Amino acid sequence: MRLLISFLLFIIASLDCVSQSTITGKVTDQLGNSLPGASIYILNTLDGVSANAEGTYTLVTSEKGNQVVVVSSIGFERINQSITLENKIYTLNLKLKEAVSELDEVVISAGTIEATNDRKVAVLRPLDIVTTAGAAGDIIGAIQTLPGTTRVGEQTGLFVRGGDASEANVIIDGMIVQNFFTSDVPGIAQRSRFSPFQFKGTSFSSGGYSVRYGQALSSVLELSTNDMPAKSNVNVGLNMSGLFGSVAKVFEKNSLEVTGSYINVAPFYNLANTNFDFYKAPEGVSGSTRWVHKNGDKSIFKLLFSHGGFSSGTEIPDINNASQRSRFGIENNNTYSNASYFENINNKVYSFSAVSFGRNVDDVTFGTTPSKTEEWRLQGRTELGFEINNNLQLLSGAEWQRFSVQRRFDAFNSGFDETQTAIYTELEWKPSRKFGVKSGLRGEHSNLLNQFALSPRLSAAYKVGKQSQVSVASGVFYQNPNNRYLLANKSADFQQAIHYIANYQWITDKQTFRVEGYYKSYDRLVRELNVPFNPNAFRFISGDIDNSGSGFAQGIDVFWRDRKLVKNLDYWISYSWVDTQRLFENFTARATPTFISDHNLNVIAKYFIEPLKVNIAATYTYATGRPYYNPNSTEFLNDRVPYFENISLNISYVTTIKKVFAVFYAGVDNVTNRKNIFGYRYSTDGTQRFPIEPALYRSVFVGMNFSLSAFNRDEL
Amino acid sequence: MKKLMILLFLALTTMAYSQTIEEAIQTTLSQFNPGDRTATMAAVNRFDLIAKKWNTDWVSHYYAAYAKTLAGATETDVAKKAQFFNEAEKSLEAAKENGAAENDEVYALLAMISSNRIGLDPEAWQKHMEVYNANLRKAKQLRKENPRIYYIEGISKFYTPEAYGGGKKNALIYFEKAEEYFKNESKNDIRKPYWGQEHNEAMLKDCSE
Repeated sequence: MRLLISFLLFIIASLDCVSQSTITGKVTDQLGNSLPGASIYILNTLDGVSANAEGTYTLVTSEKGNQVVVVSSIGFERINQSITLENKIYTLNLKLKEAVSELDEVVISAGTIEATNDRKVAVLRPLDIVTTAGAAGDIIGAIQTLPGTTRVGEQTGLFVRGGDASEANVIIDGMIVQNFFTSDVPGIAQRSRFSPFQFKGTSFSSGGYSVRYGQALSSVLELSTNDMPAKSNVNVGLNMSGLFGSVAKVFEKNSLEVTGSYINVAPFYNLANTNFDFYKAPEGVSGSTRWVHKNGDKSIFKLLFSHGGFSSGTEIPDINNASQRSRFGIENNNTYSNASYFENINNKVYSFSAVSFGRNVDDVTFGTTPSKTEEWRLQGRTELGFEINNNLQLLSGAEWQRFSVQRRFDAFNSGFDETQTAIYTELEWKPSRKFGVKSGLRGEHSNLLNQFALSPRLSAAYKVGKQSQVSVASGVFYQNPNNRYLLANKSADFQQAIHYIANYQWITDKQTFRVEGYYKSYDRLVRELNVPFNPNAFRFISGDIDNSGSGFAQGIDVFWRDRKLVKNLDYWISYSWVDTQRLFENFTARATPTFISDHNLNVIAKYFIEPLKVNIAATYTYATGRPYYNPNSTEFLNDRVPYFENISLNISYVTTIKKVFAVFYAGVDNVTNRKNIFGYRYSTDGTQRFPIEPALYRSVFVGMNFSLSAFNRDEL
Repeated sequence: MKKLMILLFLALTTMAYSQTIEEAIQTTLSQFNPGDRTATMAAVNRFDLIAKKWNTDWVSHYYAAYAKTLAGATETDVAKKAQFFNEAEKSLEAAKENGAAENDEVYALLAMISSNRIGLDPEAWQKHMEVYNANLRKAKQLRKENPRIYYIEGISKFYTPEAYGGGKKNALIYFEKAEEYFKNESKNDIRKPYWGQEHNEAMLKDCSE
């Protein structure tokens, strides 16, 4: 035996002329759990081993003197441990710290709900927007189910936290879209002009938004268009309101997309029994082309051009006489173009520039009176982002806009031209992964009002747990007087809002809980002087205006989403409570405006029946009754309509027929056929009242979509 | 005595590693067993050391990436899977910078990583699909006889739900095409990667049933 040992020692010695050191030990995390598979090696050598299933290791090395032992394991921070080796056996137990992942880092998010694919954990994904029942594939329909919003069925636009539709801006790739919605038909809320499939990211700010934007007292909805399509494809869709098609061709670094659509809502309206008569159902043709050039992660250039037109004729309640109906015919022409360029100049600096031009013409025949509105907007933005160091990020930019609205009503001409310029800068400081602050300053100037204003903005977030954080945001926001006044050639100063927001968020990859409280003070709102209240939105503005109006809005928004409870079930609940009053426009006293519901509840559920490949979605909406103007009431805007309730169902089936990917879908809106009422209008003498009704009660919508990719036979 | 034997074994195995890069890779590759977690991690760590020692040779980074990709694919923890893929992509970046910028195998492996990411993060499939397609296109452009291209496409189809154009039937043609090219591949030079045939055959059989 002794001989054998000597022999073995001799072998070792002869194999390795010098003797060796042995390092053994255990690798664990901070809690003492073993880390099997961890790598332990001596720096600058090939001497290395892996920890076994128990996390222990034995490393033998012939290295000597001062060495560095490196220990690493996926998901943990690497340790470099100095050691002096003198041919002995050493015990080295190591504790590794979990590496910071995106999940753990604080995200400054008060006021904003994002639907994005770019982040690992997001409140919503772009597809969630498209598949929300009752939204009818409209981005705004889906946004209106998020906390902080109110659905105002008879008016077009986004109503956020006590604000009216003019207080929310929609932005695509950094550019304000002046005519985001289909041109207004009085009494009928319009859809957006853009397909939700165009966007890879939706960021909905219900307050406290970034210095990049201004001219919105309440809210900014920021949309970012897709990068290059994944594959060349051909897409054809058909539904009860028209047909559309698109072709996308992907080259190595470029892609080209062309779309076209024909809209005719007649089949849909015929089946739905509309409350309004359409003497000419909405009909239109539109098309777009888009070119994307992408140079890896270094830069991306996007160019979009779209053009479309539609016409419709509707018998709507007469705006001057509630008991009568009058004809409203519209012919619309809309052009929109946007070019943007993003470049990572190096790994510390990026630049973003964009220009856009939009033009919209509405030819309206109201009753027998012809009118024409012509609007256009040209704008540009350029900005630079710098990473000063690991914790400090600086953003600086400038924005320029020129727009014009010209209206001819019968023989009266009115209009205005406005040029707005703004510069902004924002510093983001993250001293630790738990805490971050963003502070910014925006200076904006209006040529028309001949006024300059500075808006400071501040937001901060602190991570209180692995999945939870608290954040706050505040800011000052300015906005021009409503177009209605500018068109009447009345001028006043900027209107102003100050937001204070506090938010708590708990988020995992399957569940989200979010609660946000806010207080918003409105100051310098425009008021019409010495006029009685008139609920007519098309009223003639004759008197003077000033900035003596004011108001406030406060409330709580709650959001809960769960995808864990039941497999293939995804549901979310959003609830908002808002308390708001204001004295503005032609109000005669401080009151809650007619577009406010105090309590708003949305429950959205989606369930995928896997064996059948069928998706079922349902949306339940409840809102307490909105105020309406009753000329016989002693108190101004004190009456409320009954509550609003709506249930929508959606079902879709996906399949592949040969090489064609197909989706069939059907939806029912207002399943119970509830007769919701949005308000009342009174006859001139105040003796008769007429309910303001939605365009449709229960309606059914069916459609299908086919797409073919890999039409390139040489792909295989 | 036992301790001594261990020491001897370790001494011998340590010795076994002082070889050329090709031998080092070959040895580690032969010990690689994706079914055995400990062996997999040992190979990942060993390939990492090889990549550190011969860090100007693309092939060292390529195999480090290969091992990490398979380690990621067989890992069950979702967060760790993504980290393995991140690491694998970093290794492939290093391979590109060290002489493999125009090597089809690098792009094929990058495509394989993206296709794995789709399974990991299905909601962001469009983003991963874009990268997946771009890399496959590039690989085909460089050498369309690379069997791994079709093997990876087959796997990707195999795991795509039938409703979205995937499933066994649709995957089969890819595995068949891969098989043709695998047959003609020489398997003696680690600088010309040749992995994948065995699994391709298994998939082929599974899809033909």
